[in-house]
Amino acid sequence: MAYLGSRRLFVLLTAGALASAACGGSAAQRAALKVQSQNQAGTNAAAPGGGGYSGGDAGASAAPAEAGAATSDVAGSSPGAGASSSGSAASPAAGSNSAAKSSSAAAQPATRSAAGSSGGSGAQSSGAGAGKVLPGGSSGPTPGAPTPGGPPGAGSAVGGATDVGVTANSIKVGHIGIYSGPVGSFGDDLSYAGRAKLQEINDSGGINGRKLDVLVRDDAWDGTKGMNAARDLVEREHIFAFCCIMSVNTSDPLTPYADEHKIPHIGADGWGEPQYKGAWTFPVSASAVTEAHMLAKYQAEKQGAKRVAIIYINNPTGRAYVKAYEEVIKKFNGEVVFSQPATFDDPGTTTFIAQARTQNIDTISTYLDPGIFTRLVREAAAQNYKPKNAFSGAAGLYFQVTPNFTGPNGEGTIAATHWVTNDMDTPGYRAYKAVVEKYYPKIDHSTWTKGGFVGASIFGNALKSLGLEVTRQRLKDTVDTLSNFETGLGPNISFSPGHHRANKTIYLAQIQRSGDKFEFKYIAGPLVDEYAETN
Amino acid sequence: MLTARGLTVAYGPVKVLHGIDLDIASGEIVALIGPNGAGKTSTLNAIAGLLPHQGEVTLDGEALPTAAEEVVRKGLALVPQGRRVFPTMSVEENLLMGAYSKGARWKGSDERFAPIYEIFPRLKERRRQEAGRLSGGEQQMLVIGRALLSQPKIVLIDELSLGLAPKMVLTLLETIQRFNAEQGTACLLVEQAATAALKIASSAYLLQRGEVVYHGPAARLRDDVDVLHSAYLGQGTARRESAIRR
Amino acid sequence: MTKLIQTLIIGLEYGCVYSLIAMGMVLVYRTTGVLNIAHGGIGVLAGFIAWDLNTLRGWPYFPAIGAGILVAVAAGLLFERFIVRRLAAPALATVATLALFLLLQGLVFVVPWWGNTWGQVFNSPFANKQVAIPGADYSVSWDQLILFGNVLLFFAGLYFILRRTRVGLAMRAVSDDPTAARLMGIRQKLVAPVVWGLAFGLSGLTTMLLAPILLLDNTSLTAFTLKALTVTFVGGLISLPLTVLGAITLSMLEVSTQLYLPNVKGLSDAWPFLILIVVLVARFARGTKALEDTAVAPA
Repeated sequence: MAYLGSRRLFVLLTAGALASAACGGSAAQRAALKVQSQNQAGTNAAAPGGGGYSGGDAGASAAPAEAGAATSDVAGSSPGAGASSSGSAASPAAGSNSAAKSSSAAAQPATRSAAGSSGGSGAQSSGAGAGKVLPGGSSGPTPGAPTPGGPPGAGSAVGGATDVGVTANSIKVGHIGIYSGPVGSFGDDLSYAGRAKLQEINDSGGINGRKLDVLVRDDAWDGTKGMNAARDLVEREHIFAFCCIMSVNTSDPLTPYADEHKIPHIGADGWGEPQYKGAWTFPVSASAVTEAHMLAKYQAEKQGAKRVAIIYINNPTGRAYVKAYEEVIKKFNGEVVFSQPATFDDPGTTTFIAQARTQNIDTISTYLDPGIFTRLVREAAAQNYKPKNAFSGAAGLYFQVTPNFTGPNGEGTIAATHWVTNDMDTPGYRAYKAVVEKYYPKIDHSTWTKGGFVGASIFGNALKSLGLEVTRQRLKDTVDTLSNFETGLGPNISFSPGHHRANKTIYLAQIQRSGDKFEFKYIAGPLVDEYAETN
Repeated sequence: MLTARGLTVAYGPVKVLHGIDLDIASGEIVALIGPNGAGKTSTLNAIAGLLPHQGEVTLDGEALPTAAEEVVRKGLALVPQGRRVFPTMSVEENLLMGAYSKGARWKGSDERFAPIYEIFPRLKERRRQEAGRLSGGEQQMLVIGRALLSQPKIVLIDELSLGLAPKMVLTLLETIQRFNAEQGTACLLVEQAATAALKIASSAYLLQRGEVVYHGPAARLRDDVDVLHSAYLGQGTARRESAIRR
Repeated sequence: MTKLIQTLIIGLEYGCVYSLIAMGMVLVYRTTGVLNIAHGGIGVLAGFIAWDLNTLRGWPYFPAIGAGILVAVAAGLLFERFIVRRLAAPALATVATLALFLLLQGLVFVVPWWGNTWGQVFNSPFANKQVAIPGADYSVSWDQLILFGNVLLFFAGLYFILRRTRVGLAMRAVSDDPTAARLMGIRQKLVAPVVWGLAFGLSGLTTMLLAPILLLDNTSLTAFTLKALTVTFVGGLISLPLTVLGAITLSMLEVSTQLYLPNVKGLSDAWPFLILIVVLVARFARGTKALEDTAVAPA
């Protein structure tokens, strides 16, 4: 009995930890593997080099390592975990000269493509190597970080270390993406467009002679992990600024932190309302609240929505979505009859449909990812139920995987997006696509790939306009007066001090049959949110 | 019937059994006694195929296999130390496992178990209970009964009395004696506390530091306390020790 | 009344989902002492193979899922032969199941023609067929009915195997005490592959049954691991009836909370943890008592 007892004890102690590792770790791995296949598939990719990743601790880490000159990926949010942590780990002795050399070396991807490009199962082993071998990662003059108080005037003449994270030939940029976790399987795409743009900036000469040195971290769509990564990037890696973070769960808490440390946070996703309260945060995509406003208005006006039920992922943005939808639908004499949170592993989708059916709901709106949404739609089909006005949802649905998954049952679903829809095929969209697919040929173009791209473009342009005197304050001031930046993807972007709600534009797309496939097709927009707050 | 010649067991470079010889005749009860660390358990485990060994072990003139799962099929059952029941299985299921080597299935198990239930009626009462929840004495009954169900020609029992009340030990030994008389199953009893085992054994081996120091009638060991004491405590001290005890 | 019937049906439906995964975990634990964390996930690869054969290569549905399950069985045999057999303790094998699980999941993304996505739609031939439940304003799909039927079969089958068959009893004996099992004449090299082949096969079958209801993807199938674990603890990792009872209880609690108390938003998510705490306290209390028993008994 004692034998059994101890065995049970072991089981109890380990079970919880293993269960959580099972979920997090797997997602991390699949993100890494996915990148590998992206790279392998990339026929016209400029730098088809490494694809290794280092698994520091199972849940948190694993960011794919790109071979590009500017991008040194760092896995593991704890300093100890990442053997591959860039900058300092590579070579403390590497001064500014070596950074210059490494940039030129980086122009020849063939010289180091060996690092971590071996196939699937070996992925874990190559991480440490990738970090050290990639010269792009080793530009950090971390030991002797430049004094921000240095004379700006002198700096402008010769360039040099004009501010934290800036050297004569590099600018250290922090990026946090969704590479693992519950939405990691498509979350990683959200990062790639912004990173492609930064890469393109480097490949076409950089910023007035400086290369962007992009440090990439994973937040697994978890704000706590994201903030750990952010602190590490700021306090240990001494980055200059954050760019194009498309994970709402990190962008929200990062906003007050950026203000506190006076670090530019350019091109945030803008999905969460807290991002509009920061002086140093510049969101480019629209808020979930704006999506809810426009969807409610459209559905009330065009579809006659009166009795609405909402199912949502239970996070602050999800709750804000419900509230915002309710506010606007009331103006049209409709009501949100009930709302319910959903998770990946409970009967929520089923009970929601059962309720909707009994309560005579005409419209179902959602704040979900494609996976749970698909379950919802299937459940409705199983119960032989379709709401009169079909389903609608926040930009979380605007991925090609959604219609792929839902098939005919999802027909009629309306999703919000903040930029021109893919089927509009404008010249701006084609230009965007050309840049992104040069580096990431198999990306699912969504609201946030476009947002990340726009964010990176604004970031690059603003930096270039600074000349050689690159400082955080000057960058912030420049972006703060950005006027009518042409995105080519719909709304143009303008900021003014205290007014960072630059994108209040919504396009609506609907899942429609196209041959034997189902695709999102443009149905409305641009719709400008007249209910939005004015900050 | 069971013979061992030059049985040697070593744990790495340390030899614990130095080539001993054993002979057990059909239907005989033999006691293997000796102080702690003499090599008694190693002897049993080696014969039963749980320990790698050198030397020749034969049963009815046929060499025994070296893997435990095969030895039992030849008619030798070991009851290991520590009442090793299958704790999450019921008493009945434990007994069925005892007959596993005989190809037992549930069909016909009642008749099969009847003799065991007869000698250990307590087991019948608790046949649906989890073995892990039985008392120590009941568990010992179960492992003995389980071993007997493989219908062995000889059963090796390691430290029957360990951790049991003296009255329980007596009951169990009497049962073994009775079963031996009825069924003719030979029995090799290993005991550190020798007295009880010597009462029912006909002959005895005394093991000391891996060597046989006495082989002969059990009665002599039982009666001549000095021989026993010298074995357990070493020459010279024996007499003094026994004097003090008296 | 309508609501009550709906609660019971949905509760039963998700109770079946939890039970299906949990019973597989009980089987492995009970016969090997290994807590197979990966049970819900191992089948994903088998699911993808079946999907490949059926959707991309045009195999009929049943041969395709059969082939997928066979691949899972083969994976189980290989896993036993090359991993479990070399590991000394069940604890190590538990970790190995986790590693295997990560590897198999990763494989899904490596096969180029599987599209590098985390999921696929894998419908059964019974898709879009429903049965209306009279008086409940509710209907269930054929897929759900098939799931229900399989849970019953699973339960009866496992119960029978573990209690009535020679190989099942031998598996349990090996798990309880491998040395004593050898002394009974149980040849472990023959028993262990049966366990792992069966376990992986069941995991494959589980995937085939759940994929038409959820999605064929990593997230949905592995997300249930925590709940399955909770209900296996209700059964002490051993008892099948208690495990199923726990699964249905948990799911009924969740469903009734969602349908009757829709405004108490956090409660439904809290049930697994509440149940886990209650079960752990109860089990630990019992465990202590059992230990005292054995300590006293020899005297």
